[in-house]
Amino acid sequence: MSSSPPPSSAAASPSCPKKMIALRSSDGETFEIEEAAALQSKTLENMIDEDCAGTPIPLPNVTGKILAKVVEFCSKHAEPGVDDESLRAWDAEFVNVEQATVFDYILAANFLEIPTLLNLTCNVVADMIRGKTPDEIRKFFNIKSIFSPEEEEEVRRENHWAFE
Amino acid sequence: MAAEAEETEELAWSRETIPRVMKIACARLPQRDLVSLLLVSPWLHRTLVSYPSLWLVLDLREMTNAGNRLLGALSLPRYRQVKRIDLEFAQDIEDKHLESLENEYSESLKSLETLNLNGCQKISDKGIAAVTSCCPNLKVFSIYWNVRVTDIGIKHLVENCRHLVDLNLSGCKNITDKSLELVADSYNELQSLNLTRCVKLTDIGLQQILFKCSSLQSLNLYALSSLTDNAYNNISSLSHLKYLDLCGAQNLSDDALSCIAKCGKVVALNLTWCVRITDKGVIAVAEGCVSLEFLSLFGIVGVTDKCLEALSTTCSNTLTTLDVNGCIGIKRRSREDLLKLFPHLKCFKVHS
Repeated sequence: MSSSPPPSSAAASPSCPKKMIALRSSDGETFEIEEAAALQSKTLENMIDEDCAGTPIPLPNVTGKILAKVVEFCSKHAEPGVDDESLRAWDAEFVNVEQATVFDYILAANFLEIPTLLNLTCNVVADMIRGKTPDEIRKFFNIKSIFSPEEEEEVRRENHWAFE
Repeated sequence: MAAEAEETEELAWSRETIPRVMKIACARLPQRDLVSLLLVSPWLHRTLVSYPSLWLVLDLREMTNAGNRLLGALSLPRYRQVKRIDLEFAQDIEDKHLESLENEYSESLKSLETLNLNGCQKISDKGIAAVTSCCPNLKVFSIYWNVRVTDIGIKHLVENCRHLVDLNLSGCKNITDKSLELVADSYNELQSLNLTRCVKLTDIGLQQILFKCSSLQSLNLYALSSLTDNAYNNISSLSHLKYLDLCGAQNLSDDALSCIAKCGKVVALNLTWCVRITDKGVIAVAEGCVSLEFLSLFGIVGVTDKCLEALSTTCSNTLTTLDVNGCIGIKRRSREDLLKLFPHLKCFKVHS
């Protein structure tokens, strides 16, 4: 039984102690998530309030592979009695994945409005960018650039005030 | 076929995924890194440049050649809605740069709310006239440690920027009561005022502020040792006051402090070197300011354990900072003694 009180929400149902919400990914997979965990997503919170109880909530922007992990994250963060240090360590492991996956997490967290996941994943990416030159950023993220030499020169010139 | 698919995927990565993700993730990056991202690819450039919320702050703190950098930045359309410009301890910024700004980029500062010129010691009244004429919506103005600013500069400020709520003139030694008169007449909604070391100010100027700026929440009078009870008594009219710095108020008496104690919302009070204060004044504070979180009695030899007992009956739940170093009249002032009276204390030293 979920003993952590959900964030204030009109949908909190006193009669059903462990209300499960069904979610459907873009590729048709269905996932169940406890209400308390689901309420970490502002998007889901709004949808639950609209009383779509029973029918799976469709999430066309999130694949099954990523939704599974998002459910895992939210469930972990809704768990009672987890101390800060353990949670931090768990979070660190959670984002210890390849770039493309972290990016998928960011897009999902943004769409679903999950502040904890968004902060965690954006910090990871910000740390990857900090202190790098544009060229290093390109290499690190494997970004193809098609600036022409003139364009590149123009952009550099107009922004060179920002660099010491 | 496989090679083509791979190429399409690579392109989608660079062209769509990266800009989408960076747009979300880069808001927390320092300016330099944010601008680096613009140079990475044309798609990233296009996506980020047209996202206004990324370009509301211009951070040129401690940079050399800051005047020219400022002009370079403001020449770019993406800074047209800039809200905050920070030039704290920037070097090589002079009146002439601010005058160029007025001539060429005045439209870009219409949304400016915060201007930090702390430590920009070359700026004078002329520069202030020029820059303030461009930012009618300014709310926060800070020009710490500038001895060139005079009442004339402040006159330009109050004429151009009618909506100021936060003014920091700390260290602007040439400001006189005239400036306070102008501020008092123009900024009835002022919430924060810092007059640290503005040594030419007298009771007369301060009284104007106390009578007319009734919304003040924060007042800093650090090192204004010539002020007297004539002014201090009227601090009680600031019913919203939360932060009060009276460090060095050598003329402050118990009676005046008892008046000040009527400001019931005060949470931070600095009485460092208020050498005339005794238990009487501090006990009045204990009775009046029941949510006190921060208190310094540093260097006051006339207070005893009695005043701490009084404080603990009302503020023991809220007090987290207490400096009683040099208070030789208080016998029980070890860390342990203080924690018994104020169990939430974290900081025992304010003044060095």
